[in-house]
Amino acid sequence: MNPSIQIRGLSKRYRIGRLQQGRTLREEIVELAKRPFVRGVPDSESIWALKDVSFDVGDGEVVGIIGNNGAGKSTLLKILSKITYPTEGNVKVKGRVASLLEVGTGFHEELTGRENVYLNGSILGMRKREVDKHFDAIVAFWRRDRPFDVMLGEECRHHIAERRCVGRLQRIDDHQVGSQAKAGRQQRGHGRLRRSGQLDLRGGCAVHRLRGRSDLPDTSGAQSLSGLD
Amino acid sequence: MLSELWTYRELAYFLAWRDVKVRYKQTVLGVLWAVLQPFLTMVLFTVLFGQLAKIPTDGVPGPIFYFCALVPWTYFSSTVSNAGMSLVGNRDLLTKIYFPRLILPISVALSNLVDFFIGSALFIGFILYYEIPLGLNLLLWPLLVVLMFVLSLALGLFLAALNVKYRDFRYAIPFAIQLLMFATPIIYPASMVPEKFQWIVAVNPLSGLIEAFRYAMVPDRALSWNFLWFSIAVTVVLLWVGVAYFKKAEKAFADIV
Repeated sequence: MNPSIQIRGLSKRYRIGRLQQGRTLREEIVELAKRPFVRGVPDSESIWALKDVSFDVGDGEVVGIIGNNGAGKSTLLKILSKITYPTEGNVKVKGRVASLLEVGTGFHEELTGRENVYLNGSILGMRKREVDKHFDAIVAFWRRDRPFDVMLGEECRHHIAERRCVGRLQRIDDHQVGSQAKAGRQQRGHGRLRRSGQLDLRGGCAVHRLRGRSDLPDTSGAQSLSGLD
Repeated sequence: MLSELWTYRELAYFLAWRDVKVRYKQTVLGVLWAVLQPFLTMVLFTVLFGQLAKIPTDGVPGPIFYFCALVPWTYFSSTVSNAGMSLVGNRDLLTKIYFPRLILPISVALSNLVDFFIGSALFIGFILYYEIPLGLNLLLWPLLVVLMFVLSLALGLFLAALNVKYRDFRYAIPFAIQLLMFATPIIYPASMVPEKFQWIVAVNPLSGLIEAFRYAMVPDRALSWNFLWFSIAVTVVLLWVGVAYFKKAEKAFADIV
């Protein structure tokens, strides 16, 4: 079978401590001046978030990735959605990717709900045409207990993303289950699309805690990344 | 790279549009601010440098002389500093969503064009007030706008990438821009600079640009074409170096920003 997501020998190293954040030019200059007198570069200041991970996700398959805190679930998803780059190995993803890593970005409180829908749509890689087409559905889908113009960015993104699933995309979703409200919103989304027979999720779905995730019967298999710990 | 940028062109447009919208919403004066800013600076310069310091303006009325230079300069300085901060300022976007990172500085350069055009429109008032005859030189203006856009963007995106890597870089930028303003013929004509210091004017790519803006808008002014050619050459090199560095640094943006 031709996999839609192919991951081969994927490793990701993060620098920790002092090197984690960007450095200052001053430090760099001091370092450069010291270099002739210091032997070797210490590499103890880094950790491997992922080490040699390989697996495939078939066409139409929904995969849940579970693991302890810090197991590397989010890192994996970030690499899949091209937000960060692997240190080693490679990833092949067919088609476009709709990533939903921590929703709520790109929203601006100075803009109206309508404007935010367009902005968030384009941040998620949608064309204006596409937003136009789905606009009513995005609005209709949204819970009407608040005026549309004060819609939260997070919700807005969810609605847009749910609509995007219709267009046969790889969807990368990072669920931090915990907030009931959030889980409810997601359930509504999945349920609605499934009912209309349009659900076509093809991608990873990282779950931090399993409670409340029984609503995804399509999950054909969950691969534990225990080897990453 | 270009085809991907083209795919995401609407994102650049929406981000620029958000910037403009938010900028005008947050200021009490709104759009008027874009007009007032260069206008009041021009008044200040006319009084300070023209009346008090009596710096010659090559026979051009002071307000026109300063205004021609101030509008593109304001564009340059705000684009370079805002684009420079565009990556570190959009940390949330960088660490959570994929899009070509160049979109961020590009959207800043686009949104500032709105202010530039509003400021430039004010120039029509000057033309009417001072009864300046319009010359063919004005045909050069659109090309200068393109040069200004590319030069500011090239420097801005270069600084944006450096800002992610070196956290202390951002503190130097406002100061450097301030110094650059005095090294650029804005409050004085390039012709006034003594022979001995002409090279300082010559190596500054902004000199050619600013003087060319004056040449385009004020009739019967001479232009040292060599300055302009030099500006163009530096812009091309800077864009090439800037984009190359940006693409190289890009892979680590999400990890270190």
